[in-house]
Amino acid sequence: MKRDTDSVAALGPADEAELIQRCRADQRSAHDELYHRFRRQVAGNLYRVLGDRTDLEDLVQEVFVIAFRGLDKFRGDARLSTWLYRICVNVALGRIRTRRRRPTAIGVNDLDGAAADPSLTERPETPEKSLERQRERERVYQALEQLAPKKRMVLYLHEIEGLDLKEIAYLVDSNPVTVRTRLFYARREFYRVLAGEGASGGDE
Amino acid sequence: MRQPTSRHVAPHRWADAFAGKLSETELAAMERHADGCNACAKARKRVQRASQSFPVLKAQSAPELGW
Repeated sequence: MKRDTDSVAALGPADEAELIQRCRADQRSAHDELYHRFRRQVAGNLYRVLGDRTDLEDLVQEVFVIAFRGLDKFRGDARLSTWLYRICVNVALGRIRTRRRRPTAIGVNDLDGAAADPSLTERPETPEKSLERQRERERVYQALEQLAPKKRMVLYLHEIEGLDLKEIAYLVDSNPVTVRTRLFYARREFYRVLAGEGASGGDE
Repeated sequence: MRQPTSRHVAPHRWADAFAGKLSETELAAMERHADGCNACAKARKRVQRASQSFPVLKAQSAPELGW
């Protein structure tokens, strides 16, 4: 689940544990290191889940504030990157719920600035191809916007991120059975919207 | 000549098909239906385009922020 790391060497489990210990000891340098190592990953997670960059800096800060406050409760049963992703999911869910209450805040149009993995765009795209890709991306995020927040999240994590039920359950703080049920309905709604048939709605 | 099946294809079934989750028999029945049904052919095309975009969406990096 790890991407978007800054250009610093990846941490092994032992180094990660040491960094967490230093953070718990309230060492400022450790907090800085954790932030600099994972900020791009956190920003990427939030950006992909939400589909736009509105308030992205603020949301990244929110994730790290929650992470620093919660480090004492981090049991080390997941990699730090996964644990941070879990916080991202929680923060993103809060943002999605707020946007649903204030629909005018929805924005997917700034996705054209999205940077894709270079390996997927090795050949220069024609303007037509680039425009079509951008439109497809907007269609996908607009369909996601039609889903209730929890359904949207499991759908995104499964269909786009390719995570399995157990991984998703950890990230959304649920269990695989609930995730499977939610995904069952979410997929039907999502692809119905994508196919142009509209959604049945629903709040959660 | 085999007749197309009469039931419309639920859009998520196309996603299953593009993910390789269906048997050849199931897929063939869906394709036969779509070949004779404009609505399902259109849905197939839309779901296929979206499914093809997922790897690109997954690979998006964060935009440059004012770190």
